[in-house]
Amino acid sequence: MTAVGDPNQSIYGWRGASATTLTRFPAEFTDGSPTPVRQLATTWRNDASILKVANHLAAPLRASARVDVAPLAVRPDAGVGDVVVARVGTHVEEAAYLADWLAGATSRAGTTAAVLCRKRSQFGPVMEALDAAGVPYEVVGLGGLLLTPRSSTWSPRCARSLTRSRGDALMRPLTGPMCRLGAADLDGLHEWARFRQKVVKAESQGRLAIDLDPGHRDEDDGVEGPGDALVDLAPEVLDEPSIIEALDDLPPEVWRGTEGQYVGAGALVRLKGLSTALRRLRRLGALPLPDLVGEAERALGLDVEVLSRPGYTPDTSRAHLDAFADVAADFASSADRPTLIGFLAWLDAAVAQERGLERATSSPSAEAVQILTIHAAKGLEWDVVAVPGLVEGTFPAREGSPTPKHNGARWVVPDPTPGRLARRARGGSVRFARRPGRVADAAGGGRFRQ
Amino acid sequence: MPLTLPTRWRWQPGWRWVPDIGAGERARFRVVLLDEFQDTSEAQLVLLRSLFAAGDSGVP
Repeated sequence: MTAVGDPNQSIYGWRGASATTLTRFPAEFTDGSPTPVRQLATTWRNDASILKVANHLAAPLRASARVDVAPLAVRPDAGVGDVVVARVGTHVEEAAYLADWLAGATSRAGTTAAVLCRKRSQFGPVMEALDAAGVPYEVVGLGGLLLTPRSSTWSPRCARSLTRSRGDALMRPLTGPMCRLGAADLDGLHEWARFRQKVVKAESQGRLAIDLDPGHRDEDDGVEGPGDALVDLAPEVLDEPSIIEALDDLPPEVWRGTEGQYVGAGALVRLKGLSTALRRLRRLGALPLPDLVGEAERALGLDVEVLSRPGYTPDTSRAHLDAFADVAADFASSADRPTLIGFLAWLDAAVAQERGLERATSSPSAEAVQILTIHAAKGLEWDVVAVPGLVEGTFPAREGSPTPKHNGARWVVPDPTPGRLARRARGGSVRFARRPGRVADAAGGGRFRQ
Repeated sequence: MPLTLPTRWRWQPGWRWVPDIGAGERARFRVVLLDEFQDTSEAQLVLLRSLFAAGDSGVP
């Protein structure tokens, strides 16, 4: 009977794994004689300098471990490895630095590379920087997928076009390659939506209102009395201007807002295109989900949009769209009622509760730089790995930054909680032990200045 | 024979404790390897013990 485990890699505490099972194994499974314990302390994955960093980062964890774990040693034929540490001012500069570095590091064909982030919110700047540097990338995992510009477009577009309240979700299609609205046109469209809403509301107060008390109506005097007052039973429905409705009923070219806002002629043509596409999609609402996803992709020009990006092969360019189509197909085949509304609710849940819906990576790919959370990277390895946001007190040391509290006399910064410290460090050691080859650790300041 | 255990367990109505299963399993498998043991839950440990650590008579 043999048990293999690494107490420093115990990351499933949140779902019931016990921190003490490994400690207790020798005593629980014994025939009376001492149970032999062997250390598997050679790493077959990392080069020397990377391991050095990993051991350093895991040191506080080793010190507090209940099971003795020897520091890892390199394999006999390990190379030196290459660790680059950069100190930059802001997270945006950091992302630009990472992108440049990755562009160089992945120039040799067949090099696998990844950017491992502590939080999903770090994906955005990294994606933008990689776009700017012309480095193909792929966001791994559903939760992250929904944050990529091209798929986040998708679900809002099709979906929110069915619900009039979610005009905010239309921002990406309105400003994306299909409509290319500038600030002035957006302002004009918004003003039009508000104007329209006022008109519609005024009309409805005459048309939709219901006489609450017909018995008191003075029908013959020809003079309006209090009994004639009409009440709109659901005025709140019309309280919010709806961009989606404005899109369905675009302003005439000569229309001007109260402050001279207008929607330009060119913009109107493109908006008409979007409006037609959305109206058509709404009519297709009864299609099976996967078909609807395909239709939306074509109707909104996403397929062409992703293919036209330079630096991507046809395969990698579609990675996110295909992944999203897979998600829709999975949902359609597994949900009790695979409706569009249900799918959207499920996507919202995926964004809110990332962990539950996170999917494992298929495998490291040399076609595109993969962006994923450190949590999702467990068990994977790449030739080159970049870790943004290595800021003291943020990662890998402790969760969040301690919030200063006022104790009546002065502001005090509390000490980090030891429990949190241990958990976070545990996360760290998993990845630092996983990388062959080169690593860039970029410590970004900005909001998290050291 | 690889075996994946669910992490969360509840005793279900209709389940029955069969003491001899452990002996049967121990006769079938000469060697047992538990991987990723740090992620074992308390319930899994109890299960594994009852299957593969033969009570007072020691380890198979």
